Amino acid sequence: MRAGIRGWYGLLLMVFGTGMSGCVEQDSFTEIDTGDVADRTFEWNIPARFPLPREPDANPVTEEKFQLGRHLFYDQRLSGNGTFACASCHRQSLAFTDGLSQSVGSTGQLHPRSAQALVNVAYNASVNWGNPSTVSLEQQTPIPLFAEFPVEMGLNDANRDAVLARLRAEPRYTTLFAAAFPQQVDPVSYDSIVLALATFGRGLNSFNSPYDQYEAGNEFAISTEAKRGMALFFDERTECFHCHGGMNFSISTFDRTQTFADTSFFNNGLYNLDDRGSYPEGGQGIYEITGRQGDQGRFRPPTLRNIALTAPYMHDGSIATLEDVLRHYMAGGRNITVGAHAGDGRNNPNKSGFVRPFALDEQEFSDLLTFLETLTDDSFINNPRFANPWEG
Amino acid sequence: MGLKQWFWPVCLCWPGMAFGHGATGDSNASLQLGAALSLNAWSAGAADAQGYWRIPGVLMGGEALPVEKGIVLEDAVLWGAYRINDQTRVQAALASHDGGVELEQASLGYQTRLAGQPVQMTLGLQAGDFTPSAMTESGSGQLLAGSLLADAFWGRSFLDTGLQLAWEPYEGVTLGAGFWNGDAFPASSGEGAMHVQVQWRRPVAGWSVEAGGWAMQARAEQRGDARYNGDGGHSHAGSSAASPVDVRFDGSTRLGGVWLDVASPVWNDWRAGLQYEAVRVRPDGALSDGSHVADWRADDTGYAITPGIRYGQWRLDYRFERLSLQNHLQGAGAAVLADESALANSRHPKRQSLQLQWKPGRAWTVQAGYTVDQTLSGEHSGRYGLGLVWQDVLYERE
Amino acid sequence: MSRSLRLLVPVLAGVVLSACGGDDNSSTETTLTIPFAARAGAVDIACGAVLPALGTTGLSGSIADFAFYLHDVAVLDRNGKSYPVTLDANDFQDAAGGVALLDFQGKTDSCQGADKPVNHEVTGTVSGVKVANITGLSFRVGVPEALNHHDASLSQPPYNRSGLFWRWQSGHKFMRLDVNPVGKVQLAYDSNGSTESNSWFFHLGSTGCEGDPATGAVVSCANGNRPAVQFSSGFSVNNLTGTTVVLDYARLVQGANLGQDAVAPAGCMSGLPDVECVTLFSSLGLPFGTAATAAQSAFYLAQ
Repeated sequence: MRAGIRGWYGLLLMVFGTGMSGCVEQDSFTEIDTGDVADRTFEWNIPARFPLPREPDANPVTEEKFQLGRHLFYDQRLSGNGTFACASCHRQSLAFTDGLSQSVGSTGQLHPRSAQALVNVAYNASVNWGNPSTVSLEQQTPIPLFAEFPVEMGLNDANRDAVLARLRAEPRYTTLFAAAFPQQVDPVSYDSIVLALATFGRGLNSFNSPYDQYEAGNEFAISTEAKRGMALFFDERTECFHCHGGMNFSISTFDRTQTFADTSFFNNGLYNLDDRGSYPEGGQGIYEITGRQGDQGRFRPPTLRNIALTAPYMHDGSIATLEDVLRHYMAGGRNITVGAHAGDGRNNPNKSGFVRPFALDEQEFSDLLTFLETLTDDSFINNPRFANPWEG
Repeated sequence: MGLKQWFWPVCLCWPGMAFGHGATGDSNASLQLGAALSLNAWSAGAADAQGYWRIPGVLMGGEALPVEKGIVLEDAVLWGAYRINDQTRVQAALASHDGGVELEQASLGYQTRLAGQPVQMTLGLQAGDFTPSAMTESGSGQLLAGSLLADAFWGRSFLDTGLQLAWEPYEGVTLGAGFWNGDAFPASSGEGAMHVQVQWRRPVAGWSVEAGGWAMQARAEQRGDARYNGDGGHSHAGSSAASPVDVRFDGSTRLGGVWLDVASPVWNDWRAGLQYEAVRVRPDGALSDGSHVADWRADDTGYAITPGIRYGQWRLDYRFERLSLQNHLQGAGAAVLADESALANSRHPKRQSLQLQWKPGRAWTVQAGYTVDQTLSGEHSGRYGLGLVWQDVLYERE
Repeated sequence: MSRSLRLLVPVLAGVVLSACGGDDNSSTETTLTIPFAARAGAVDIACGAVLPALGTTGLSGSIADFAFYLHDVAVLDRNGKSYPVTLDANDFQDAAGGVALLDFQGKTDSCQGADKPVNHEVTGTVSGVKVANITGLSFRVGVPEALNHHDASLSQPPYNRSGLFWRWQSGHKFMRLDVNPVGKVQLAYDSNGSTESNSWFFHLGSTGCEGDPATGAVVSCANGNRPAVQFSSGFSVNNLTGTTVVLDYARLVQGANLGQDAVAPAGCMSGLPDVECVTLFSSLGLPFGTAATAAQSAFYLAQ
């Protein structure tokens, strides 16, 4: 028996010894290799936890192009008649929109659309209210410059050379253009102007609202009411997040870690002129490009960041206040009873399935509004980096 | 991967449990019907604050749901086995887990001879036989806390439709193989899996020694986390959304393991035992969530060691389980996907359990245990559990 | 040398030389100028010219804008085989892309501004065919798909004519033929507060385009709208100049009423819901929606 017990003891030792060492002591780790996706030598104004937007191969971002773009953005000499700048419809204090329901061009022509807020536009999967073919800032930039129907900045074949001559005459531009496009002999050209303005737009990023601070870990950055409003926003009852979800509060967002972009367009029941779902002339959504009746009234959902600053709302500015926007969605669409645009948008056949009526009591209504207000980023509208360089 | 990686500890052990809910193979009855019920009560749940149990560093799925606080009917099974003739038998089991009754097993078994030695073939919906913890569920009474290796690597239980073969060329040595449709995690339905295994059950000088080794390969296509997303799962992408993002895996997973179950001879009603199991899992493929993709390969190992002693109807076990998880993600979407699928990790998730079990009769088992669960990051508090298992043959006919 | 040999040499030389000169389509290269004319009936189109008898109501009008792009220019021999013309590089032609701009608007600002250059011809070289064997001509109107949606085209001729940008639809207008009819165009709808338009526009371009944000470019257009024009006979080259190709605006709009417009915009800008486009597309031999495709009739060869 003794020998048996001793043998048993020895075996026991061997067991635990080998058992423990037999399980090779391995590290636990996760190695993530994203290539050069996270390169941040440019001052994007995007916190590290968010993925960066795309950069086109033909127009990589540089600080010099950004500064040139910024100078051009605020320069009235870039318009045909010298009275208008990009900033005339895109004002920093209003998150780069103009507070009008429909913008007015340099020659006084009325635009069918409300100027979009230039907030995080680098992430836009498509860059117009209703156009599935303009998918980059470089495609968009010439539109306001050269458009004729209506005239916006008013550049055309007659004055384009004269406008370039104005820019050449400005000594600051000699340095700025040369720094931005060092390989070009004569960098003052419309191609350079477009690339510089697009780069400026790419740098206008806003991720520092009280909501962002809350998400980053500061429990007290937003009020309890706002937290309740946030729960309502991400709820299946309101369905807000379905079109205005994600880090950019719009699902039409595309960053450089993604392989597939959602160029989404939704009809939210604003009009229904003929019970076939038609929208008024000039504001028919992507139908104007595709010609398909089912595309009437489908527009891109813009970001809700800084939404409290960008009244009036919708593609034609036809909803004046944020409260009215909420009531619109609560009703599941807009019923216009009198006038040229009469029709019940709630019955629009092309209306997105996510726009359904829902009820909110007074407290919930107020909470949801409070939440939307926490998306206002004061550091964005006051950032001197985006301000007018010609003043002081 | 190979048996050489793990040493072959000769040790004190515990006799293995009867596996699964099926009838024991030795019965002479032509028809057997039985049932099993398992009731658990826990003082705390295993899930995180949002109610999800995703161990950082490993992509889980299958049915590896966390224990819940309170009293839960863990398992209710009705099984039957019918012998058609000497060689052929059918077996089926109806089970209810978390509400809803489903056909859990339905198989046809056929016994014949190969090179003079018996070979058993089983075709149909059945449990995988490659390792003990693939066949036991927490309700079968072995361990109240379940198996962390099973939960992490094959979704707790391996139930699939396929063909299993077991051939006993020598007394106590079984060679087996399985060919599966892929319904069980880590495969995905239709993609298939297959395994091979060897088992050794022979007493050595009065000691009961059972050991085995196995290897499996499983393919998956668009495999999600069936616990939370499933197919066509509605995922709410958004920084405030609580529901996990639906990340899908395409690729293959290779698994392999060894296990050992040793029990000492009985001495004055005392017996000591040791169980050891180690598994290595290597997935290799791509992850996607609809708008990001990344290449992913991982090298995970886990082991569980359970020494215990038994005296009469009483049994005391201590189990220690630990995982080492190495993940490599590559691609533009790597950081986002690592975050969404909870693969970012630098810890060794582990769990320790102490359990006291009393088996007053053939049918009843009472368990009381205490578990310190460090599988999720954060605070680690212990939880108490009580388990009651009843299993019996209700009807038997010659 | 003997007498017979002296005769032989010129004979042999003749045989050899004719053998060299020989095959119909050996390595010949010819410079070629193809003149284009734009007319309305018999009247040449230019700023200020009064174009009579336009459309179904026979209105007169004058142009505001008149230009179009061509590409894939080729000459045809009597067997129908085509030989591509390599365009020269100049301010109105992209030699590498094979695109030419024909511009008949002599003044800027819708013919109200200062003088500006016009271009009435396509110049290039063609090889592999003898001049005498050229009997036909083919080309396509517009900018080819591969070049239509490139960035950096704002400054490079011939793409830098701002009036032919069509950024809203992404790309270039292939034809811009804007005419101001006498009595203006009466609109059946309200356009920015007015029910009249000075001009009856014809802007031809690709529609139904979709972009791919991953590449930042347009990837496909449902309707290319690039009319193919082919003359199998009647085209000949004399003194390095081909037969004049005429674009007859009157033939283009013969089925349209230039004094009215039912669907915005005034005239036709290629959009599918625009009913005024049906007859114009038909004159160009282009399909439009569900309308049957006819043979093009707007271009013809001068006699």
